[in-house]
Amino acid sequence: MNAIEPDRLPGQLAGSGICIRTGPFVSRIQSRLSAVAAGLALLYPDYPLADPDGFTDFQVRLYTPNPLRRWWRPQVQFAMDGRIPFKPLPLSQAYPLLEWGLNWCITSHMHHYLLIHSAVVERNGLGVILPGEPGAGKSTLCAALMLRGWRLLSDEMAVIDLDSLELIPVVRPVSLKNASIEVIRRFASEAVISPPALDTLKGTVAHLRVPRASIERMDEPARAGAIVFPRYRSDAVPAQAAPETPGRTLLRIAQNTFNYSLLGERAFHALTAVVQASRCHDLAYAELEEAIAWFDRLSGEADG
Amino acid sequence: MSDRRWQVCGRAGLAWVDWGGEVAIYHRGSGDTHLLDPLAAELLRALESGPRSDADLVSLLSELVSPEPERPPQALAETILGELKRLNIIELIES
Repeated sequence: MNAIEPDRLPGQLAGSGICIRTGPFVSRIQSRLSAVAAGLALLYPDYPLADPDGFTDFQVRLYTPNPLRRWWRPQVQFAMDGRIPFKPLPLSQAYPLLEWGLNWCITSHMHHYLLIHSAVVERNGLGVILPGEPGAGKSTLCAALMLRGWRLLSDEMAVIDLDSLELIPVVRPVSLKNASIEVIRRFASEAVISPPALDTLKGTVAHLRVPRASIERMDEPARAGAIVFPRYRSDAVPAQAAPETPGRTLLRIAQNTFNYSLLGERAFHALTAVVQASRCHDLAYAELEEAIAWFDRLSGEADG
Repeated sequence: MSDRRWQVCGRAGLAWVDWGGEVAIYHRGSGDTHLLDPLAAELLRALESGPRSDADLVSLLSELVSPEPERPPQALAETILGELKRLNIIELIES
């Protein structure tokens, strides 16, 4: 996206839009909203743009639904291919709504993939799935791993090819919520984080820019070799890892699979194969550094 | 325990993955996935091949486990069959 000069980006977004490729998906984004342009300029400068006349998976538009509310509690609406899947939100949530909307586009339409609510990272050829059980802190841990050299495939969903069972990267900014925003600021002062949006349904939300190294490898699938259920627990000092059985892992991960019921038996066989190929663990941690050290050992990189 | 007859719910059957100590099944009729212990899995495998009576299943269990006075095979079978029925994996055949 560096090909577009910053002062030309708002005009292009307001016109025919820009086509951003995130892994296998191309999204055309159109919006006159300055917050959308600012967010994209901050978080997507290293992404490849797709041919504006070529195929796009999703045509996305963010706009003010009712001009009369321009001054009184202004709102933002998300639309995909003319469909409006959500109620409008306060205008201050325009950028998070774009990211949430793009997630919805994938989880609601891309059923030729198995889609698990989880973060996915990779190092030394080891793909690790971090399922997103409520309160687990997957995004915080995923952000920290990414900032310490692990390759990000996704912060939000494991996208699994149903034939090859490979993990397909869908590299997008990492969503940080509430306390984790400050945790990551302290963890890596160089991290580029969008201005927080307050009072969203998820609390305060901000997005973290992905390092160029992960974006440059967005066409490189990974093999799942581990499934780790992280859990932030203030008393987990030192970090505590415990093996999880394949069967229990299957049930837990199936509950986090967006399209498990839709895909039926195909999803069962794909998930059991992924579980079969993976080491499965619970990991409770209080300190990010300890958790990262554990992951580094898992990938065979640790000093001991 | 009367001599009832049991069968797997629906005609679509089951998909199985056996990890030794635990067995995962996918019930094609309901679309549900379940985790079973090895004994429940053995009873279900028998039922998958066709309807079975209580006596058949108790006999099968007797071959699989050593007898325990505090938990005879009849009671064990009752517990397992009750749980499989509760999960809508098996059902009684109406006589």
